[in-house]
Amino acid sequence: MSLFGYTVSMICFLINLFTIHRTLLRIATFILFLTFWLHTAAIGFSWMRYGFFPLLSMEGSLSFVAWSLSLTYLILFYRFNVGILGAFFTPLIVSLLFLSRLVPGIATPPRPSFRELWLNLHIGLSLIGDALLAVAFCAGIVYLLQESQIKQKKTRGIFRRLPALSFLDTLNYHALIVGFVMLTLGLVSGSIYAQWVRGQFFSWDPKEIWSVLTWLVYAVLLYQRITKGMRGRRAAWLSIIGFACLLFTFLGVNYLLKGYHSFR
Amino acid sequence: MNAHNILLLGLNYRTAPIEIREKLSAAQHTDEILSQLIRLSGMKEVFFLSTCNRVEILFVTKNAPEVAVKIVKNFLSDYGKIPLSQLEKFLYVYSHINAVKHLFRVASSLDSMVLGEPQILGQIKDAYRLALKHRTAGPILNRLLHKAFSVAKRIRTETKLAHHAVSVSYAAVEMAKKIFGHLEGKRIMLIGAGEMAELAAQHLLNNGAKSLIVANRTLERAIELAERFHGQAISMEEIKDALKEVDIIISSTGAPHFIIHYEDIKQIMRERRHRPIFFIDIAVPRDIDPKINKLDNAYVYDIDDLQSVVEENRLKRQKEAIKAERIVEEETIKFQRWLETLEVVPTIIALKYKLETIRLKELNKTFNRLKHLSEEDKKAISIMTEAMIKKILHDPITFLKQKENRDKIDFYLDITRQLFNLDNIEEKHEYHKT
Repeated sequence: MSLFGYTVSMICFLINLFTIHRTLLRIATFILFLTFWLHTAAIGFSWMRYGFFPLLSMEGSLSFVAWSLSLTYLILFYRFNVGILGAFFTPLIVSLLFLSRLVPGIATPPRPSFRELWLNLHIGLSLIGDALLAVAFCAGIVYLLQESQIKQKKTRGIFRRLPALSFLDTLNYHALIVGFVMLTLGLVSGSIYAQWVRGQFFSWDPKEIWSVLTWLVYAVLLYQRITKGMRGRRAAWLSIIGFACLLFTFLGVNYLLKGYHSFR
Repeated sequence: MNAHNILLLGLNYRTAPIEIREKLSAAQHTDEILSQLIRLSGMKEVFFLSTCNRVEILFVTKNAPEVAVKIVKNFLSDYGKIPLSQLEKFLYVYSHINAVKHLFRVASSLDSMVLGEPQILGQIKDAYRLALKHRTAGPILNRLLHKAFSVAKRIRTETKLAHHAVSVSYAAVEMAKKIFGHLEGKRIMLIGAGEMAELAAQHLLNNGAKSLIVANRTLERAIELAERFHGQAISMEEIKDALKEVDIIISSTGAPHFIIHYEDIKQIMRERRHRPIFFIDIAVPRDIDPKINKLDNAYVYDIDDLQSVVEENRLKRQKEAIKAERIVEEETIKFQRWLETLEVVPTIIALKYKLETIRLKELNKTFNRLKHLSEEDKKAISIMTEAMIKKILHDPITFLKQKENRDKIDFYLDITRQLFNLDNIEEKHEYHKT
């Protein structure tokens, strides 16, 4: 149901991207808005049914990231009036939800314990971090698009409707800061949980290695931004590379490499 | 029509790249070019317009069009040191009524980079003043240019073409907004002080830009400008230091080479901590090395680039332009009629017609008052007035028909039409068409 809503909204956004249609943009956002509440209700419903926040399954976590993304878009839309970004957010949301349909979606209820709180914290924080870094990724893509338009002096068509470079760069930066903090907290809470469950903070699991790698990419980006004033194209590229690592950690590792982090 | 061929030869931002325009741009030598042009063989009247976007030579010649065009092309090729074969690709030639129409379109800014921008009219007025100074404008060009001014005025009042009329300066603000988001707190530097640069600076300040620095070769002018904008004046040597602080640079000097170089900016970007910097280069020849655009967070737009921004506005104004084109069309036809009357026969007919009209009208008035007159009396009076008019007209008509006056006939015909105010009549009754 949510998938359907997001898809319709995405199509509206994409049409709007290539034609100038203000009402279409409003319709697309409205559909997204409705779908978002539907999605929220769906998540709440499965929470009630399973008795725990549905994060432990691949399906649940993908859906959660999609939900966070649409929330972010809605905030951006109402706060900064940058509806055009929807054309870049919704494909990501739709593919995430689509993926969540593909993966086997039976969540085995874990044994409720105090430690599960840490596990949920670990997953929740990591996923919010992931979503925000996806926002940074989107901002980076749009930045590169807009920058190349400006550099090549193509000022027709899509150029007009994309936001200003400084806005995209700032969005990228802020999403990066918060996303990075969340990711860090997620990693820390994860290793604390691991210490409890397995007796060690770090056990060279492929997912852990990739997580740290991803974290390092983002750490370098943040460091460069803060100390060297890195911005613009390079920052956008690094956030895209970071996101590629993130995606691999999130999806690739689970299917290509074996480790205890694999979803049950 | 063989007595005078009206021709227009030119190139503009659409037909010729900036490199060619740079070679032909003649800001300092307009006087010289104009006096050379009028001395070319067969040339009767010349008007020469040179702006950074276009060069237009409008002339009236005794020669056959093909011959005259060739002569002027050769002159341009010599002057710009461009091989004729290469130059010809960039030139357009309009003859007779098409030349008139082109001038009207240029004057009313239908042919400008920014549709409806007001500067071109001022530039044409300046060029016309120069033609008057050098006495290169005769009856045809005088009439044509005055008409061009009135067409431009008519279009400005009757259409919305000039609403929000702005040119490169507006495009520059729009680009700056795409880069910086908003302009609040942004610093501007003007290098060189042209009218267009000033306008751009004004627009940026109106949009919230914070402060202005003016650098100019003569410091006096810089100080004068800076005071007007509550800014700060610096010398050309201080530009490099200022580049570390400012965000938007508008450059419009007359320098023949680049003023700001790639290597300098490459180094300065690091000191700026890569804060974006936007160069608006409206000088021809260019002031800013276009290679700077390749640097991250540095953006260079020259006058040609701004054209594409402007192209977008063109779409919005297209609707108004259609109306304006219609007005141009109308006025061109009117002018064509006037040109046709600039022949001896139509002028004589118009003169006779005017006097005849006056005669009949006055007779009618008199006869109505003097009821006691018999039919015979009336006839006699009528015959007398007819004879009077014939006698009055005899000398002027002989004069106009004289072969010795053929050379300056345009001038005499124009004077005649003005003395007797023939053109207004002619517009009401289209007698000469039949």
